[in-house]
Amino acid sequence: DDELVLLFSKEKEAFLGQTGLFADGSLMVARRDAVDWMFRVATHYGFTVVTSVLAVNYFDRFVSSFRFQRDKPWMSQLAAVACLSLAAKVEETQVPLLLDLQVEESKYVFEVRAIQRMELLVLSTLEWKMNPVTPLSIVDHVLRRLRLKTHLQLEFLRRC
Amino acid sequence: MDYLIDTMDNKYEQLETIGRGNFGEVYKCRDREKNTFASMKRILFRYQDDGVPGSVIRGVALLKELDHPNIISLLDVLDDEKWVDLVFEYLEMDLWRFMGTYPRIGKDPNLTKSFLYQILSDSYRILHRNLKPRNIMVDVDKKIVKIADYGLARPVDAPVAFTYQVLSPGYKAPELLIDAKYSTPVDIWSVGCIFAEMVTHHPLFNGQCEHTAIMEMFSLLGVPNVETWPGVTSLGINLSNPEALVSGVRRSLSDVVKGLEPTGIDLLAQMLCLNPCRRITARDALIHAYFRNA
Repeated sequence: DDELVLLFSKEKEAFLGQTGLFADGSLMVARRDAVDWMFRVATHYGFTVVTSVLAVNYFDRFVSSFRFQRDKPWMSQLAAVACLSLAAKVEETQVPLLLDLQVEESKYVFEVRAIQRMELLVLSTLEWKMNPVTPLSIVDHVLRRLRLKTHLQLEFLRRC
Repeated sequence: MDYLIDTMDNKYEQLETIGRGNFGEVYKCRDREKNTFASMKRILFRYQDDGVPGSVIRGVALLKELDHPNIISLLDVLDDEKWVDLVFEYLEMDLWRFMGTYPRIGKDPNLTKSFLYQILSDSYRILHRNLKPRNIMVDVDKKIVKIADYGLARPVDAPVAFTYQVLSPGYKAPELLIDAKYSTPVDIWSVGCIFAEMVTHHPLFNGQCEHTAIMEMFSLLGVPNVETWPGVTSLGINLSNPEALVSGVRRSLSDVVKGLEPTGIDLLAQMLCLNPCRRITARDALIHAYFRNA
């Protein structure tokens, strides 16, 4: 199945350099907070699952790059705001303003200019590859191959 | 802010402006290190209060994924606070200028066949919507054509909710002119227009405005009816008086596109099928008899 092989090789490509991430204790704490916050905001605005998955994907790829400065405590929150904003812009039809995005007890509130600069830093660090292969794309492909995409499955996917 | 590593260095020397589009300007530039030319499109962020525009993010991400010998490739992306610069592979000549500059070589039937094949071979993955001779670049020495897609394209499976103007009327498919839903067949239509133009070196339709463009089409290809295009009556054209929708003397495709071999006329007719559902697909066009003796 060529398409599946292609998906997997593309997925590998997007996650190079990620191995160190999960071994780093303090970074994992920051990541947990960031992911937690992104999910809460996604729920607040009713974003799709794909948006949340993309936001976490961008965040993980970014923080495992050399451009992420872990000595600054606000950096991970700023990255989280930028990653969620980018994911929403890629996936959602209605995107809240950057200032409105910072809800759900955001630890810091950043001005628009700072977020825009971070957006650009994330974009260039990820080399503008904003359509990565995620677990959802694989599940979607397999379901389509098996012709399982009935209303029930669609409903399930929407809820998972 | 110190965390931003400046990527805008002096890697490229900016030369003259070579184009101006809806999104911004296109410059010719020189890669100082490699001493090669490139074209650079600067996309300004029009709205300053909401970060990097979604259209820019999606457009560049899509261009990053395109990797095809018949598409101009995106070499580099440089960013600044108020814009991004997209650096593309540079070719001197576009198809429009090529036809004007080389009236004889440009009409060589084998070259036309080869160019058409190349244009078709990339077009089933991507919905371009803006195909016209000025957007197709020509490598004169290698006899290669490359589609210069500076960011209007989108993946084929993306939602179809387009409201803005995308193309000059002369190359626009009928379903675009009458605001119907559209998809990849619009590109096949445009490629058909370009095909005819490569043969005659004259635009097939002048398309001064949308109304005259529709009249030109119907005059050449016939007025559609519910049999040739089911659902056409719901598209908002008044078909009760077909005579009012045509102008001049009816001519056939082989009268207008003189010098094209019969299999070519057949392929062209299938590419210019008014009903988008019955228009030939790129996949089928590539195996058409016209290409058999290429």
